[in-house]
Amino acid sequence: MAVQLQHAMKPAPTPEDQARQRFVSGLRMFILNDLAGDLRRAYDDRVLPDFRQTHGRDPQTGAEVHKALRQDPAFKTYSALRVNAQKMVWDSVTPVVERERERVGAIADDASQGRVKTEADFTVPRSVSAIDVHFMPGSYTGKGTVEDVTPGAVYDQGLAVFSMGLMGQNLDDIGLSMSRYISRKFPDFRPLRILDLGCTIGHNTLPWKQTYPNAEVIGIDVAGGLLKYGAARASLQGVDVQFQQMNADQLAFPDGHFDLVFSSMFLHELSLKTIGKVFGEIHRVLRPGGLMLHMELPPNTQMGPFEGFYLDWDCYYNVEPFYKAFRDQEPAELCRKAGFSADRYLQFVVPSIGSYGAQAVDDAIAAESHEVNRETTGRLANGIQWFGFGSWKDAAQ
Amino acid sequence: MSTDDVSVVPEPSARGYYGPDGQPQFFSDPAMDRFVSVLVKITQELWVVSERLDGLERLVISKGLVTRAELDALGNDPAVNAERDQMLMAYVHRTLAALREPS
Repeated sequence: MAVQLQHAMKPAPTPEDQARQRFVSGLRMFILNDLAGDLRRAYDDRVLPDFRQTHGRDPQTGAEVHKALRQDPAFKTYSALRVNAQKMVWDSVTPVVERERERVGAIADDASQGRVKTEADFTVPRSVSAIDVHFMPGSYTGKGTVEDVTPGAVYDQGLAVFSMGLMGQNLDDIGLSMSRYISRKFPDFRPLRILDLGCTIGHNTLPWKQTYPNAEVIGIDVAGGLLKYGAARASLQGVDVQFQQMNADQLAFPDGHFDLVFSSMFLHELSLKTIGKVFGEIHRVLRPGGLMLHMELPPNTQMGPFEGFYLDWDCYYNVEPFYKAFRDQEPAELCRKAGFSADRYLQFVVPSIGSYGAQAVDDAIAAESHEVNRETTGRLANGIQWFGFGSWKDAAQ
Repeated sequence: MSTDDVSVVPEPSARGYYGPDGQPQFFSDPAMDRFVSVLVKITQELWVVSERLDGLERLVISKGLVTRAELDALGNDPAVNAERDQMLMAYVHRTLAALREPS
């Protein structure tokens, strides 16, 4: 359950730190599996019948489900505990990171050499700087300079506690599952230039290099400290990836440069206006026949109102203000608006390779259609499955 | 580089979901939300003690200082039990003092 990072910047927690972190992972397991089950039962047994009696119909939207659920004790308990557990994730790692600031900083200075390019006068967008995204103190950038890798250590160690083991021991389950799916599903597609947008510490960037060893892989993010930490992390794990501080809505790459542009858990942290710009930029930097691929939360348009709201909870109570507006979009429509042809759209649900094994991923490849509206799709709990969508850029005429 | 002048609140109607401190509020009395926070942190600290005690017991047993049976048998020692009874009552009075009526 509790993940212990194994790279050279791995933390040295005291026995108390370790026990606190284990507790938070365990508490989250309890909330996201057991209390989530209670919440569903409360909805079916109390909330839904009450709603039907009052309105003479079922709830049509996540907003209606939300309003009705807010009155129920199971929702209050689930939510109050989940907010606390989220804050406790960061509380449990911050003292360790503070104590080891110098040691980790020195390792990162050395190991990131020649692998990261940051900008001294970079303007971080308000979507990152104006809020503590998912209650992470100081958001992705921290309070220091771009040279300070503290936010990277907080994110790495925090994710290890947060993920309860469901993102793998190296926190790369999304990248591993997605890259296996793509490489097996499209064996003739052999990308030589790969770009990962909003890559943070590169934990899901590295699997692309491991899957396509001949490719040049670049990760970009607006948070320089994260990238420097990520560059050191990649170097210490012997994976050759480059990192550059850059805003995804203004890519400093020539037209048609990349074979594959990827992102994971990124779009839901952007405003719709920014997503439009980012998709336009992806279309521009992709070569004809190249692939845009996003791992994301599944869309509300393909889920029931309860399942949809269950995920949108984060928008209201986990400092993810852009979450719902993104999830309300039809992914195929986002692609079409950016200039991708409707018949080149793809989407799939891939079982977590760590939870289900590689064979399950291969079985998903063989499947014709992928049911999105399941309680396992996009939910970080036992049995997690990842949602992916994107589009091929039209080949040159 | 571009700046993004977007709003960072989910929607205007969500305002009622937060307490006077701007944090999510789920119970009708905001003090209850704070109470949950204290309760869950105490639970965490209790686990910390349990895990450390487990470590200590494992070590003293592995060093051959005591056996598991000797540790377990402590509860059968009348003198130990008498002392523990006194310790417990002091603990109860200390921790639950707020439940008493003012004298």
